[in-house]
Amino acid sequence: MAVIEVQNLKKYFSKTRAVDDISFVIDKGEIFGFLGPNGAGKTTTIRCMMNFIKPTGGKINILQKDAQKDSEELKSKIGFLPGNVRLYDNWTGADHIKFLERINCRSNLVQELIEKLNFNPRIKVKNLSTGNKQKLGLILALMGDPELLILDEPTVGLDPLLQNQIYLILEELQKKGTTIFMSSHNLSEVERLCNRVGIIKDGKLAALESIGNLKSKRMHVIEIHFEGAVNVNEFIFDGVEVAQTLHDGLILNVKGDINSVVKKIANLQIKDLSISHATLEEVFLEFYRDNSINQSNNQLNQPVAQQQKQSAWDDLEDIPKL
Amino acid sequence: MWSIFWRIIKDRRTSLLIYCIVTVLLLWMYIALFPAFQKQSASMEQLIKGYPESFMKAFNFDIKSFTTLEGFLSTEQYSFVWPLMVVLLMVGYAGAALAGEIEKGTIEILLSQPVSRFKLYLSRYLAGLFMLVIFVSVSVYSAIPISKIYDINFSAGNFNSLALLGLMFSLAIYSIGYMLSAIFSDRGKVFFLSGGILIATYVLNIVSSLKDSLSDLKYFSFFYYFNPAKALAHNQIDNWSYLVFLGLALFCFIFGAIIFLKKDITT
Repeated sequence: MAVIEVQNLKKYFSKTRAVDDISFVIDKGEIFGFLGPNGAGKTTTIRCMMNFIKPTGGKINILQKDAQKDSEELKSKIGFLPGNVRLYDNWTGADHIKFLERINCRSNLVQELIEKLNFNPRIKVKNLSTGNKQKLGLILALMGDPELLILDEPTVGLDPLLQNQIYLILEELQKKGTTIFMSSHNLSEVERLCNRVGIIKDGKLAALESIGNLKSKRMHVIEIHFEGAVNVNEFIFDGVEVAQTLHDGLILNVKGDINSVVKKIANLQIKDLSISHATLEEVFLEFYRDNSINQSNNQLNQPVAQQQKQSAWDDLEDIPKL
Repeated sequence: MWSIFWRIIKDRRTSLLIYCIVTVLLLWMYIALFPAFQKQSASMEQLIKGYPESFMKAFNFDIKSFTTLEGFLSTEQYSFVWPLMVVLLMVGYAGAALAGEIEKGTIEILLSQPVSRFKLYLSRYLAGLFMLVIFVSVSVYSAIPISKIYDINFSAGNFNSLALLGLMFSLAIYSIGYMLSAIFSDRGKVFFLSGGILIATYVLNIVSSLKDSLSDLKYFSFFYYFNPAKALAHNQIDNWSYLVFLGLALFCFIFGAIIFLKKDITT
């Protein structure tokens, strides 16, 4: 069942196209990572989903309801954590929790979250550290045991131990069937938690793929150590980049099909060979080189149903050119 | 909706209490001073008669200003200090209620809850209105027990007229501020524009009283319709005051709501 359906979403601020015709679907129980640098359109998309801002065009359905028209009803089922969570300085954590309890009438997980995050709710917000404010923001978002969680940079400002605690909580919620939409800059976090990612650049969706597919289909890193001298030019062909020249070999970044490289290597005398998937970080950075992504977008802007049937990355022609 | 309402009252109770204490203390001071002025009312009347009529109009002086408690209070307390306090209290609140929340980013907490934007708008408006009623009631009706302490005669009914006029005047000021708060996302702009509008209309009222050729300008002044001397000393409120203040309050409330429901809220 689709929990979030975004269809041809556009949001323009006068001439600035903050979000430009993006579409994606997120299913129940999925953890979806929304990646992109500052200003790419992540927060604008989230704000449209939360009806803080009105889309210029397109449609957002959440839990089969219109995110704009049925916003009030939907928000009782959504837990939301804004980026750089802003709280009332003169209230304590407990004041915030009680306030939302009265509005939402749901606080099933408060005590559990307070204990897990080791949070003291009796301190005024103005005296809390950034990390503790973030903890409170997370408690407020999660406490109602929502069907859908929309988290904008959930672990920003938290130390690694707490980050790990958050990951465990989110994984636990996912097991219970909660759908999670999270934007993040933290690629290792996305790699660990998310089933799929959407990568947004300049308001356009540059990729929409499962983490596994994205990593495995997109890039390999091949390190070869040769027995004798080898002409580097032999490895210069489409989809292959010589990342580093070693004293007895090469490190290659290979995009897409690695068969042609493997065949080439098979004809040579080698001492050692390793082939590994590129990290998500390497894949992510690949998208943000100054190259055209129009080709990818054309395909990604197809109707959602069509996207689900045909991966944007099945066709290597869609890979952004270096 | 009422959770938001009561939370605001809780947050604002200290500042409201301070305003109420200050206004009561000022009132107490004026009432305590009144017997001394009353004893010299004959000479004060002579003095007032020497003032130009336009000056009397501009600053709400009345022939009863020093002979009756109602006249004295309407001139000393309710013509200048009291409106100033209302402006500070209500424009301060109005600016913080919407624009301040957006500026600080805390509105995202509210917007992410299952409360419609209109209920959010209304609950915060009603909270301000509640504070307004408390302040007006305390600042007007506390004169009655204080006057009794000093054994001064007064007409209790006249205080009802003043309370009603004061409430309408304050409501109009508050609604202007609240509408501006719905339009802008910056408290500074709300304070600047509200203050600008009020100062401009105050000056307009004074200027229109000082020169006959400019007298028609008074109809554009907010303060022309706010005549505490007439309400307290003569127990009268002009029909135009009802129309202007309530009409303006209603217009600002509706226009502000339309803007707030439609606007993109980015923090």
